[in-house]
Amino acid sequence: MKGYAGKYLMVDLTRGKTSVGKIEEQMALNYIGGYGFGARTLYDMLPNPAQVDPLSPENVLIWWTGPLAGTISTAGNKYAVFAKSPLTGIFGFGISSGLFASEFKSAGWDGVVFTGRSEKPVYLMIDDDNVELRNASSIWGKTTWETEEMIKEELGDESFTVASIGPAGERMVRLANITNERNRQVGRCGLGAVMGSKNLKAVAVRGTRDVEVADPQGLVRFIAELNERCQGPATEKYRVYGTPANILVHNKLGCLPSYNFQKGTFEYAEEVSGEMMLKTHVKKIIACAGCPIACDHVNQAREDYAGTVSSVDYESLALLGPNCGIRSLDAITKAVEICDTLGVDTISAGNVVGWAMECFEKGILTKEDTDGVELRFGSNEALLEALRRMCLKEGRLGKLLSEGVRRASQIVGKGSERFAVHCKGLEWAAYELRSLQTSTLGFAVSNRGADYLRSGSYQVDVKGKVDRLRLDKSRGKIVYDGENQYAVIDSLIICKFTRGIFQSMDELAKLYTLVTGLSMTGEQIVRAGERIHNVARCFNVKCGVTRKDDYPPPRAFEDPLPDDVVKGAVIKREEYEEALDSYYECRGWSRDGIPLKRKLLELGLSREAEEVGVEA
Amino acid sequence: MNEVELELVGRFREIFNRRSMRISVKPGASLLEILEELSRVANTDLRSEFIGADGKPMEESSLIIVNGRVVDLSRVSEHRVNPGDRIVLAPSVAGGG
Repeated sequence: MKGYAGKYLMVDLTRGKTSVGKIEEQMALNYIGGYGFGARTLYDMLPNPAQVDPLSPENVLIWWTGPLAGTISTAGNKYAVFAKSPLTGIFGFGISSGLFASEFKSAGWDGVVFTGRSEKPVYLMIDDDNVELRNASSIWGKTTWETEEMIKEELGDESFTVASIGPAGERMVRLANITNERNRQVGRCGLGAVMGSKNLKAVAVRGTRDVEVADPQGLVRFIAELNERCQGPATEKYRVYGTPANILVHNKLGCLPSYNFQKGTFEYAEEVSGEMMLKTHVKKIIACAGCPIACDHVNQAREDYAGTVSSVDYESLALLGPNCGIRSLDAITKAVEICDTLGVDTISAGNVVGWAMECFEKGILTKEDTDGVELRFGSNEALLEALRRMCLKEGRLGKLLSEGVRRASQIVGKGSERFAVHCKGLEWAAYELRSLQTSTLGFAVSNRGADYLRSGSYQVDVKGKVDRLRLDKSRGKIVYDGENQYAVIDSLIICKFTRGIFQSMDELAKLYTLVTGLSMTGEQIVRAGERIHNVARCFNVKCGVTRKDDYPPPRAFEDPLPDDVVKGAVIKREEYEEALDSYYECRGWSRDGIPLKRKLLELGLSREAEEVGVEA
Repeated sequence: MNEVELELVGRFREIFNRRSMRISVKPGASLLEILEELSRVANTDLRSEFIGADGKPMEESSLIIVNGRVVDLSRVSEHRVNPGDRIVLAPSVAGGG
């Protein structure tokens, strides 16, 4: 089979030894790559995940590319990282872009699996077949940006790409991420903390080989067509304004979270809009390898934060901006830079600081708790100081925020759990809870926790296909279909910004076949997506996940939105229960959210059926 | 007063070179008729921003919000506009890389 390298690297960090594993054709067909390979290997390598402390040497850290990485496929250069998450305690997963995946595949590897824990800080160098664990003592403590530069200098070649953790990952901050090429992150689930727990500072890779594809001419023709479609209207929004275009659209829809999700609009939205940002702050627009869209908008701050540079997308902008009451693009640009260089996820960071600001304004947290920080909504200084301390686990405030919003609210108590906006411990992204209700169902049932990337279910809400201020039993099927399709997208792995250019799942299957030479239909690839989703769910069931975990936070049910445009919107509990039932029914799971044996067997998952499945 | 408030976001701001405007509408006018009228004002084919050459709604590209509710683009010719309505023309929601 082509496309795949056909092998992966296994690194035992405890013993400092490496070995090689093979990718069999059946694995490729059943699990595609990326998310699928991650679900399969995490399930297999952690047979009793409930017993594994995510920050212990017993956890594994798994990196996979997909079959498209390193080929000319449109926006197909992505890699994914997996582990039991220290933030959520369940299936942990994140995807990043840039050049890293292409370089990795060109070095002749599909992935790398880390086990154990190194005694001293190390980084992994992959230079085609030459792999080596190298001493990282001199770079331990450095920011992600410094780390990239120092490793390239040490290896004497700028063409190495580096994925690393910053001081937050080293300190095992539960929101810590992994950064490659400065601005691209494996953001969510605290996988940077798992790297830190293993004393693994970075992975540096250089690849010089061609990635072979099964039908080069057919692939060139198809990719030319897809790239042409990428210049059409479906992707214009990404090319011009990037995802920050969402700020004003969400504001008009009443689904822009502000003041820790107390509201769905922001009175200063114009000041932090994508339109304003493009005019005043964007200095550069860049693309990942093989992407004809180029969505990444790099900002340069002015005035108080002159010299600050960071890549600001919608999620970072909304959560570090309106969700914290911040109206300064300069401060937001600085906030993203702090998160990126010290190494935490901007989504979780903006969410947990927003929660802490609400606690402070309600008197639940005092200046004694915040080590003197006047943690009020709208304070640029408070936001930046809270972020810095969180990344460094500095003082009482830093230590508290570094735990993530679920744990922090459990520590603080006093009713603050009621407005900790998360699901399964993962902080909610910047899609309002009550004014996009299909989206909320999709977030809440996701395998990763509150997740905007696993089903795209907000799309029916914002296209006027359903009443977005209500739920009903039609929504389960929407989320189910979206999850299966997105599991395919995340396994190939392609950028979701291209989803509008594919006319059907048959086209995704065609792309797979052109690259790999393996026969695949649209129906088969969707079935693979369903299989992948179920394996990840089975992992979660082993971690204790059931129906009780598939709910949005209390604010969704208890605090009607005050904003004019969606006044009074709130999720009705009986409607939610009905929608959740309908989702489980589509999935072939029990009313308690456990996959039925017969469904697992139908998907060829006999071991999962035996270990996790229940009778109807 | 048969006027509606038109709010413009993203590229629609560029087309009209403003954030908002008030426009007069005929009683019982449809959204499609308003788009056609606006096309004449801006000297551009605004309809094509919402409806493709094949007649299919371009939901991946654009959206229309009337009084906070998203209009199904396959129904722009049926959707009647009332005086005082607040209409937003915007690019569709983007996200999820």
